[in-house]
Formats: sequence, C-alpha cells, structure tokens
Amino acid sequence: MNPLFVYMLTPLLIWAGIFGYLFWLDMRLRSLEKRLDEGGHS
Amino acid sequence: MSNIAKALTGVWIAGVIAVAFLWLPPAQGFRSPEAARIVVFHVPCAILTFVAFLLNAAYSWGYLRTREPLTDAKANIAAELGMLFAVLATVTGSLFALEQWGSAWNWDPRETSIVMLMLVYAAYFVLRGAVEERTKRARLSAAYALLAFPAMVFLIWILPRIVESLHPSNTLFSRSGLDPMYRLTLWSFFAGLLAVFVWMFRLRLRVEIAETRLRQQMSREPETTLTGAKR
Repeated sequence: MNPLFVYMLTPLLIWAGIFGYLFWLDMRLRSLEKRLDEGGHS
Repeated sequence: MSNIAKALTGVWIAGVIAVAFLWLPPAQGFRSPEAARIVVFHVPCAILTFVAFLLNAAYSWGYLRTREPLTDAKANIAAELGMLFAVLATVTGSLFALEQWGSAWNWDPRETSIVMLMLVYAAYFVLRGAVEERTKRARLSAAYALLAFPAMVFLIWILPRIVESLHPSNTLFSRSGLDPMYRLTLWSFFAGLLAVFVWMFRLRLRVEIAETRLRQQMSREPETTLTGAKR
C-alpha cells in the first residue's frame, strides 16, 4: 500500500469509530426520548 | 457539552489533522517515514484507553463506597469507551505495523498485552450481562473492575517494558524521545480526543438515564431515578 494512503487512512478510521459511536448514541437517545414521551409504549 | 464547545472541538481536531498532514515532516529513521507519522494519531488512542479504564476503576471504587447507581453507570460507560479506544488503538497500530514491520500483527508484547486487556474488559461486560439483579450486578462488576485494574496497569505499563519489544519505550516524556514537533501534534490531538471523550461520556450517560426511566415506566417500578431522586 502507498504509505501516504495508509497515513491518511488512520485519522479516517479513528473518526469512523468515534462518529459511528456518537451517531448510534444519538439515535438511541432520540428513540428512548420518543418512547418516554409516548408513555413507555413501543 | 454546549454546541459551541462541540464546534470548537471539531475545529480543533480538524486543525490538528491538517497540521499533521501539512506541517509534520516524515519521520526519519523508519522504514516508511511517511506512514510513521501515524504515531500522532495512534498513541493518543492508546493513552485514552488507559484513562478510560482508570476512570472505570475509580467509579467502581466510588460505587462500592456509596452504592450510588449513577456511579455504577459511569463505571460501565468508562469501560465501554475504554474498549472503543482500545479497538481504535489496535486498528491504527496494525496499519503502522503493516507499513513498518511488514505484517499487521507481530505478537509484539504491546500487541499481545492490548489483546489480553480487551479480553479482561470483555469479561467485565459478560459479567454485567449475566447478572439480572441490578444491585448485585453493580456490586460484582465493581469488585471485578477493581481486580482488573492492577492487571491493566501491568499489561500497559510493566509487561511491554520488561520484555523485548518492537515498540520504543519512554518516548513521550523523555527529552531523547519524540521530536518536539511530533510531541506537540500528538498532545494536541490527545486534547481534542479528550474533549470528544467527555462528549461521548455525557451522551452515553443521558442514554443510560433515559433507559432506566423507560424501564421503570414500563415495569411500573417504584419511581426512583438513576440519580436516586424520587419522581
């Protein structure tokens, strides 16, 4: 692999991990808050 | 975290990444000097792994002292984040190893110790998943976390230093270690990641609190929140 490509891939992987987790947390929180507003029925 | 703080964090990290690409010279003395600059991204992930597991032990100790459910939730979240950063450190380290040492995995002492560390904390999550009753789960997992802590310190700080390793040691704090430009970029990236860590921690805590409220609402349990307040 091209070393420069490998170097560029590294922060992208870190961001993929972090944003993936943040996105999942945000989705989960929205869904929980919606269910709480509906009185716990899903 | 306020929206301004989130925006500043994003700008800060984007700036550090730009600096790492545009300003940081290739690391001489490595087989692949261009790719060796990965250390400025890889090492902060490894440091945050240690910070997260340290927090896990501190909150576990706090739980055993106070028996506060919120403290148990924080210990669990810290372990989750520790696992996330351990995976990120391993993946970025494997990319570095592929370029520098010719193979993505070499069973180097640090590589082996992070696998062992992940197994130790995987067992923590298995334990939490196996116990239904919340108070018992919190008590057992806190005790386990305090047993895992010395193992974590041994695996991160001691084992890689007592056996021969492909990884250099004492590069972060000694004068003869990293080049000052590399050190500045590395710690700047760490500062940005630490802010993201706080953001993730707080968001995950909100999820935990919402889950507890929903569980109580659905099971018509006595309305006691995670924070202990009566609703």
